[in-house]
Amino acid sequence: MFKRCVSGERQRSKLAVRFLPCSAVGIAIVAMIWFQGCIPMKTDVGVSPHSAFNVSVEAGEKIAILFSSDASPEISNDFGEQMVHCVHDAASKAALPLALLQQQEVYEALFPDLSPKQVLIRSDTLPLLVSEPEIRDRIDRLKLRYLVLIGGETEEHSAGSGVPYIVVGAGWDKKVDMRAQVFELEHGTEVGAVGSQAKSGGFAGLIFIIPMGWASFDAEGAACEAIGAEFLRIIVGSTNAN
Amino acid sequence: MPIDAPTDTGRCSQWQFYWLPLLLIIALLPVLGGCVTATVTPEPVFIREPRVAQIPLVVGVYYSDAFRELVYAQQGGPLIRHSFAIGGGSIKLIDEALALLFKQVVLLPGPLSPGVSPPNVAGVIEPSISTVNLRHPPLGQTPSSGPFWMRTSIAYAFTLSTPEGERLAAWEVEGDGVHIFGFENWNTAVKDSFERAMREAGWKLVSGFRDIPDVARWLELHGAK
Repeated sequence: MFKRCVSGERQRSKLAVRFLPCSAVGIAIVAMIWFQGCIPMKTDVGVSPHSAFNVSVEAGEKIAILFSSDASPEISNDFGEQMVHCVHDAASKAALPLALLQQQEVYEALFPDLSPKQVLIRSDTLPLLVSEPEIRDRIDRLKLRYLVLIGGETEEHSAGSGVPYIVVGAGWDKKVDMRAQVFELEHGTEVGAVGSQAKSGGFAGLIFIIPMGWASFDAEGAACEAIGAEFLRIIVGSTNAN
Repeated sequence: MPIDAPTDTGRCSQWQFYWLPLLLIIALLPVLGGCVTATVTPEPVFIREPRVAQIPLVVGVYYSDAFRELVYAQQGGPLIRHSFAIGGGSIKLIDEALALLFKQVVLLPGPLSPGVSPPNVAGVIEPSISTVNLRHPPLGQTPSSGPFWMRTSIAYAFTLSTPEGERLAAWEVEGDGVHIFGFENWNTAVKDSFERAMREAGWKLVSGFRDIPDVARWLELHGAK
C-alpha cells in the first residue's frame, strides 16, 4: 500500500515534468498571438457638427424618442431599438428634469387603436400627423413638446486574398452613421439634428505560419454611445439655459 | 423436422423495417428541410395615419383573374421553389385603401362591357400588377459590402373609367421594400420585404390620388375636389 502510494506520486511527478514544457509552449503561442500577433485597435468615433438649435422644454413637458423603420429602412429593427435605448440610457444617467417617453408609450398614447405598422412616421408625414385634430389634442394633453427620430445607416465591406502557403489575409470594416432629428410638435417641423459616426474594422492573416492581425469591434455600440452623449449635451445645455 | 428457412415475407419485412423508412426520410428531406414550400401570401398592413380626406363618391372596383392569381415564383435550385401570392395579398390592401379613400366601394363581378354599366357608381377602378422585382446578394456568398438585404419592388397600374367604359385616367404607383436579414428563413424575409413594398405602394395610392391630373379633373366634374 505504501509502495503503491510512492510509485503513484512518482508517476504524477513524471507526468508533470512531461506536461509542463507542453503547456509552456502552448501558453507561449497564445501569448505570442495575443500580445504580438493580434493587436486590439480602438474604434474610431466622431460626432457630426450640427447647427446650433434650441430645445426649450418647460416643467412637465415631455420628449418622445422613436425609431421608425420607414425613416431608416436600411437599419434593422433590433439596431433601431438599441439606438433608442442609448439615448434613453444617457438621459436617465444624467437625471434630466424632463420626461422622455418610450417608443411603446408614444404609440399607445397618440395612436391607441393602431399598430405601429399602421402609422407612417417620417419627416414628410409629421406635419400631416400633428395637424389632425384628434392627434393634436392627444399631443397637447400629453404635453409632448418634441419628437426625436433616431435613424441612420450601416456600411460593411470585406475582402480577402493571398498567396497559398506564403501569405493569406482578410480584412473587413464597418461604418455606422447615426442621426437624431429633433422635431417640434407644434407644426411637425425639424428644429435640428445631431449625428455620430463610428468605424470598426480589422485584418487577420498568416505570413508562413505566423498569425497576425488587428481588429476593433462594436462600431454600433460606439456610435450609439456617442449620439447619446451628444444628444444629452444639447438637451442639458438648453434646459440649463432656460 | 420443421426448418426455419428465410421466406419472402421475412425479407419483405426486413426491407420494410430498414430500407423503406430510410427511403421515406430521404424523399421527405427537402420537405422537412423547408426546400419545397407552399405558396406564401404576403399580408401587407395598410397605413391608416396620416389619414386622407374621404372623397364623397361611390366607385366600382374590378380585380381581373390575372390580378387575383398572380404568383411570383423563384427557382432556388432543383428542389427549391419559393412562391409568393402577390395578387392575393394585394387585394386586401387595395380594398382597404379604396374603402378609406371613397365613401363606398362596390366590388364588380366582371369587367366593364359595352352597353352594360354598373349602376350608381361615379367611376370604375381596375388595378393590375405591372412589375414585381426581388433582388438579393448572390446565394451562397457573403455580401462584400453592406448587411445581407432583400430588396423588393412592386408597381401597380391603375385605370379609372366611366361606368360606360370610357378610359379617364391611367397611372402607376410603385413601392419598395427592404428587409435586413437577421436569422429568419428565406420565405419570412422575402414575405416581409414584399409586405413593406406593398405597404408603401398602398400609401402612395391614397396620398397621391388627388394629384393625378386626369383624376383631379374627374373629381372636379363630380364636385368632389
